[in-house]
Amino acid sequence: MRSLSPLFLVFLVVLGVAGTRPPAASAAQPRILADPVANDECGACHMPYPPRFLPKSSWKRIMANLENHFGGDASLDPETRDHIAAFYARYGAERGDDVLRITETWWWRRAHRYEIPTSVWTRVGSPANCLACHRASGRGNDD
Amino acid sequence: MRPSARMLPLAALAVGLVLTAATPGRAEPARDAILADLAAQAKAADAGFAGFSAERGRALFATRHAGGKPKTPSCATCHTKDPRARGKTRVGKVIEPMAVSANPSRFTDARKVAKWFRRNCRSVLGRVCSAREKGDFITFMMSR
Repeated sequence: MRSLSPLFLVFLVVLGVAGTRPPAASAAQPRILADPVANDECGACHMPYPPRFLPKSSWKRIMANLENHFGGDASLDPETRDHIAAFYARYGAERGDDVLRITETWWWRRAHRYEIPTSVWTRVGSPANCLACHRASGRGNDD
Repeated sequence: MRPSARMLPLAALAVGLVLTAATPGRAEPARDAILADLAAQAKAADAGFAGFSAERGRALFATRHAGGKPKTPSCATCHTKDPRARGKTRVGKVIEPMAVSANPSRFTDARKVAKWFRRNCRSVLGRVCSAREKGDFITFMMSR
């Protein structure tokens, strides 16, 4: 069997890593991005997800149906909801998959499809529990 | 062996502190106001209303209800069976204890109380809770 050239191996590694990050943010956005109201309200149940994790259109649909929020009722008073909706409308990704779950975006699936044993998902409870592995995520830095 | 007489005031103080900690719900005006408001609503809904019951609150908390969302059949699903323990949301985030003895700030913010009863009663029971149910729940949590 012919052995692979080192250059080709480097190419494969680059190919594997590319596309595993959420799309760059739309508006000029600070590296660490957080809204105190979103942190409090979204963060009461799960990590307050950075807006660029989903396209603006997805955030709009999510914020319009908080009464049925992935199997729970996450309704807010109108004033609070409008504030958080404006934050995600401003900083959400310009384009991306038209999905509601972050775990259904191409970049998330690509980033998590290899190397993560089933036992890890069992231990952390849910893929929505980003912080179980990504310790800095809650501070707006999703590395 | 008898405890030394000098230790007695200290022991009395310790006992006093423990007793104070065991009845944390009583001296909190904000929580009392929330309960009084719920009691007035319960009375308006039912003239025979004769006060809240920690035992009914316990049953509401522990029962597996039908009619709510499938993943949250009971309050204890997320809060665990022990209200003094920390719970976990369905995605793994820690929920601070519900029992007032373990978390003295519980039920002191009327907006927060209204928001979480609205959401969680719909999630667990599939309907809003009555004022009596809310008062029973809070009374149970004050007793723990």
